[in-house]
Amino acid sequence: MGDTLNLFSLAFYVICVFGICGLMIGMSWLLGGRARGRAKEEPFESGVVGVGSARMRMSAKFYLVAMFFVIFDAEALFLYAWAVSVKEAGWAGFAEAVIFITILLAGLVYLWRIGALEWAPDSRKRLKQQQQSETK
Amino acid sequence: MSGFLAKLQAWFAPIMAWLEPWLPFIFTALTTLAILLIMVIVAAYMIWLERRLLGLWQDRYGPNRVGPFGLGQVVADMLKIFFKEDWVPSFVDKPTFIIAPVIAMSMMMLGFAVIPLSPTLGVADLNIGVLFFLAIAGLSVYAVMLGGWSSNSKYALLGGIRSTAQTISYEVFMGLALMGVVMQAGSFSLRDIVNAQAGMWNVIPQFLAFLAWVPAALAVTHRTPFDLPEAESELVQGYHTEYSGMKFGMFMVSEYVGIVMVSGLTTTLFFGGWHGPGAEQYPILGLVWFCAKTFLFMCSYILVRAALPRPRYDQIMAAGWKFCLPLTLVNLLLTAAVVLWNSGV
Repeated sequence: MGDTLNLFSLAFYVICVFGICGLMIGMSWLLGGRARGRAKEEPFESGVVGVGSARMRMSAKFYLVAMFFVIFDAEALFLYAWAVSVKEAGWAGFAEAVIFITILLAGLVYLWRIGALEWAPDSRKRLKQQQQSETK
Repeated sequence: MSGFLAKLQAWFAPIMAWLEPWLPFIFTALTTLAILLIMVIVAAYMIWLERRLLGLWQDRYGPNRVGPFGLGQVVADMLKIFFKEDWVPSFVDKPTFIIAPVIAMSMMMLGFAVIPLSPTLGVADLNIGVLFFLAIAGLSVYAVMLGGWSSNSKYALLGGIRSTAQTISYEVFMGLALMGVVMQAGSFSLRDIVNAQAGMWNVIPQFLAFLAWVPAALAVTHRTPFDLPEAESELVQGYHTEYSGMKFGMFMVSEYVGIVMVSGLTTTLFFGGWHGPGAEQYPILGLVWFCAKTFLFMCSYILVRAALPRPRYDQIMAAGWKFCLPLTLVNLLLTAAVVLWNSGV
């Protein structure tokens, strides 16, 4: 009975949440005004007429971050499973987790050292090195 | 008169008898609806609270014209935004453009489902509560990503991509930070986690995790100083540049719903949930304690916005990957060692 009520409560909550969202979208569609304008159908670019489309090429850095996320989050998932069963896994499990986390941290240090986590372009990095060597 | 009452009773008796087995369901449904509505109204009033508090801290008034203390401002704004044009620009990807604000708002509201409000109150008591929250936080990234992409506008795309990269970076260690708390309670259920904090609030033994959780919580709600996706000084409005009317309003409200949800979660995970003097004897006092603590964190969100400048994007990413991630991993090992030591395995 308690379980059924629990699930019923969750299901009802989910339905209500999407109901509210639908209501908000629907009401504003129903109540909102309609207006036409000359430059209305242009993407907003602070008043400047846009050049080219928004389907442009992004810095590869963002894809790199996405890959790191997949790698580290997938590894974090194993730790989730370990977190709820620390006592059952005991010290043997702890030792294994230490090895696992050490490998994880080694990967992070490697990424750090090769500059995968740096966001500044190479030109700025060179500038910084130059400044450092000048001050020396 | 008494004859009439008896007739009325006789007439209602079969209905009551038929209704009897459904009463707990009706009661649960009403409680659930009340929690949801109160949460949304509180979130809407966060807008008022934020404007008033920011006003206070910046030596000005903030909204004080509509109703007492300007309390009617939220209602007035809401009525106004309902009558604004529900505009879908011709250059956008229509279905995605409409779905994005719905995802933003519904995910933030769904996260509240697993939070226990008092010893007896709460929407649902899931045994995977923490995982549920992490899944919801992961899904809410789609709102920003789809919103930014479907707008077909450069500012929106830049904001959306930035935000996605930032949020997923912070999600990696947000989960790991919570695992320390999970270890101490030995369960993913938020109710168990609250019960495990009867002696001491998690913020003391899990202080390192709390240090990592604070920026992660700010990042998941896109609040200052982590509001780079909508940095108005460089990206106009970021991913919702092309949104207007209620769809923009939904992005806006979802941010405040997120604050309420994450504040409630901070209370639950690190500050003992409903625990407080007298909460064991009187469950209703537990609700008061929970609300008071949550309110404190909601105000601290606004204080952070009033006090801190916005850092550079590379600084935010560096703080996440180079500081918080190793910190949470170390915290995880320390917690596991202490838990194992104490249990004497």
